[in-house]
Amino acid sequence: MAGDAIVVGSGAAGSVVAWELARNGWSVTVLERGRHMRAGLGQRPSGELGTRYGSDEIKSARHFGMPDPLLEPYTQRTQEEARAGIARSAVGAYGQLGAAVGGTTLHYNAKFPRFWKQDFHTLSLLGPVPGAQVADWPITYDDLEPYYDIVERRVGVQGDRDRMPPRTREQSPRSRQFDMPPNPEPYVGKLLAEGARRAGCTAYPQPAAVNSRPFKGRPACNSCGLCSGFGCPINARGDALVSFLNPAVRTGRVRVIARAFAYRVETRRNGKRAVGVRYVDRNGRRRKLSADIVVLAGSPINTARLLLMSRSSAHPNGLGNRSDQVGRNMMFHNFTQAAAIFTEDIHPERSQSNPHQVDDLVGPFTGLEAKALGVPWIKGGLIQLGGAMPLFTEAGLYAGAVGYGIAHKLLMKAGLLHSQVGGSQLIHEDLPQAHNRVDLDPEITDHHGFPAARITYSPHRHEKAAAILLGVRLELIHALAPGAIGAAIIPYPLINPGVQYTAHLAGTARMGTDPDTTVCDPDGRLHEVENVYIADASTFPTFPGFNPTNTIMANALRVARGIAKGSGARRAAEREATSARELEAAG
Amino acid sequence: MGADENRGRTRREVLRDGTAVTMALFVAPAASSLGDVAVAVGSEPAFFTEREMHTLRGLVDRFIPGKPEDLDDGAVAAGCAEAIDALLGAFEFDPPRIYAGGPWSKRGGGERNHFKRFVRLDAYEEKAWRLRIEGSRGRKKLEFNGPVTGWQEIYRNGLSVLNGAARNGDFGSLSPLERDLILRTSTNPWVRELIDVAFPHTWQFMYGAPEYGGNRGLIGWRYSRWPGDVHPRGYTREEIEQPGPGGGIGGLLNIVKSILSLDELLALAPYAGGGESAFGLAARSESLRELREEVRPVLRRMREERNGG
Repeated sequence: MAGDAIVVGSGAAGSVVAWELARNGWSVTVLERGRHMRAGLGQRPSGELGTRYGSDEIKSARHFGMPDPLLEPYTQRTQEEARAGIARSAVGAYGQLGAAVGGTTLHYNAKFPRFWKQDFHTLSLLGPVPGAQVADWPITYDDLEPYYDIVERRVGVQGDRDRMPPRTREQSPRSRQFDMPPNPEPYVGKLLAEGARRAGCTAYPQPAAVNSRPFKGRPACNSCGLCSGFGCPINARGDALVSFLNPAVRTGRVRVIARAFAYRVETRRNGKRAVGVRYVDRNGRRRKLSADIVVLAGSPINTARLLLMSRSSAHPNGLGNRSDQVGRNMMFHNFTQAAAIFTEDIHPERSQSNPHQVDDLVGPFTGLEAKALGVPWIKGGLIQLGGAMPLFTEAGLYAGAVGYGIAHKLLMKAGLLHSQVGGSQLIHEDLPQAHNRVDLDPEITDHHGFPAARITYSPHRHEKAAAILLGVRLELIHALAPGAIGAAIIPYPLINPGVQYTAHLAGTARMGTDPDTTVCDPDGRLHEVENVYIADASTFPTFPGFNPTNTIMANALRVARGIAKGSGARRAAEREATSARELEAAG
Repeated sequence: MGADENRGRTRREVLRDGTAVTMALFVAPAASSLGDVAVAVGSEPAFFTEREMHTLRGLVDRFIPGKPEDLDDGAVAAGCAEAIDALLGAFEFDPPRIYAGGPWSKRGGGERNHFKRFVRLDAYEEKAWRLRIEGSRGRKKLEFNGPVTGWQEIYRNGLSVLNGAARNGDFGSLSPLERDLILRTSTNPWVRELIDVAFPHTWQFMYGAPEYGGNRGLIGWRYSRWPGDVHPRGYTREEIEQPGPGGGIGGLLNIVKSILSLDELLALAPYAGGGESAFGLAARSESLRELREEVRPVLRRMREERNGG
């Protein structure tokens, strides 16, 4: 039976939930703490929406579409600092994701790989790791695969299944070819792909939610290169808003309240059912909404914070936190970055960024090489080959290296980093740790007076071992690229004791069947509250080294479809699957 | 909490005393006073007084020097001081000059420059940016995490201290070397705060979209060979798939690796010509050896100073 739902957050997870529930007749209110950025939302087809974004680095530097760190700071410390009783060592924007209608997907890099089969069984396949809470997922790849397929069809993904290595196809099998071929291969991509081949690896076009041809009324990408951190000026990127939220709003059953900061999930006195959500509106007024169900989709740090702020007599440690697991197992994707230096102008910015993917360092590595580094096994992740460096990043790096003055200017004139350096990054699997957690800062607040999220984080020995073992191979790929005269790596897990800036977050409310060790059941529902669900990456028990948005969307769709059971959802899924098969048969 | 959440990081970034001081020494003989290099641009200031603008130009000139220290114009000619003034006086404009519009300017083939029309701020953004620029000024509602010193106060006090440190009370009229020495040696907290805030502002306006007031004539993008915003046109398949025409450094890095140290490269910089980098010049020069001979005395001075000699 369809009812009323409140969805907190309008990004990758929230937009998908709103779309799926609306399709099944639910009335949905989406609370989004950010502002509207896309003119025409709900009034025009997605291909005709306007945008306030542009290829404007000053705007990006000024937190456009992001939470402002002055008004909404997070605080941060390492595990060692926490043990020493230090309340926080930094205040700012650590781990902040976008705050806009559509969420971070408005300016994400749009890389769209799937997780692998083995990622759902890490504990069973590889065993425990001391100091980490390695776990199996309560679902499998096969459970998620139909949802991956639906999401990819709606978002529009470019790639080439035929060029994927056999192991990738075996570990993340796909029922069909991608909707679009890859963008033109950038020059830097060719060079680094050849370096990978010489190093014994296989590079192939990285799946990306970016149009390489007109798709659903939106144009093809023109390879400007400014993807991550920038809104797409021409609407060529498949984001949560154009693919899910706008169509959902156009059903007439979904409304989005922008600049609505949710600060409490209210429950009945016994704590077993939620009755609504309290939020602060754009004018600073405190309001309350009631609904039959509440779906949290504000991303891992914010979801944990909201649960912890929702404590009551029935939930004295925070909503659904009898297990004391809310906020724990906070995971960030650490990166090891690599660069190859060339003698010619390789213009890496002329690209649909990071054109290639290499999976040879995904692992697991279980031999002596891992044990010699002090861990029973090592899992790495994918490599994104061929990224560009925007000018502001280059200027900031030089500022750090030489300070101000003529030296800085000369380095900018040489322009080495943006014109002759091809960069890549290895995405590290980050193991879940109990002491890597989000809690409420005892002193620092946001501008409404609510406690800031405090992140305690240190990379596990596993991440450091992975950087040592895999960093060498990553560097080799770059050193062997044709024309490269040098290569270097920056292994962040080794040099950064705390949170690295990344938009890849997971954990804080893991799903599982045991209420003593997990927060949600496999359907995303809180063990202790029958009508509160979590649809974002908070529920991920582990965090494999792949860009997570595709999996976030697929899992959110799975959760939403579970909510909608009994309201025709299964029949809709069957209809959609039938329709998809017909489409494929029709070529 | 301070006015700039990046303050701690930028302080570390900008303080690289050794290299920078030596750079000031070896470029000094070729430089002149600000009076010769300053270019008065813009209409009436939105925040600063004319005297403050003069001092500010003297400051940004040291962050990104122009002619004749280098053959390309620097921050003064690019309008960085005026852009900083416009930022600090952002709320004198309607809409406030915080976020340029979207989705593109006319530089990439668009029929209309959407960047020129700034985005109207909502209440959240106005609160954040007023706090950042104006500071909390004792208003308890804004001091939820302690007082916030605004950029306006940091600039005003920092510039005042710089003038006070000048032998003639006019920082902007001092020679580049004198201004460098004041900036490098001052331990005054307002000066340190000013550098932490103003250097990032300067390079952002130098290398950012010109609609914000800096990068006039696309100076920064031209000499760094950055394409800027390219929408809606973007790139053709050929532009994507083939190497670029740049390659000004082409082959030089091999030379650099085997022959030149970083010090030497930097010392060669004043000899670079015509928008070309020292790297590029050296790459094509038949007379690299001669160039090295010329910079050798400068290098000796740099090393002596670094060694405390």
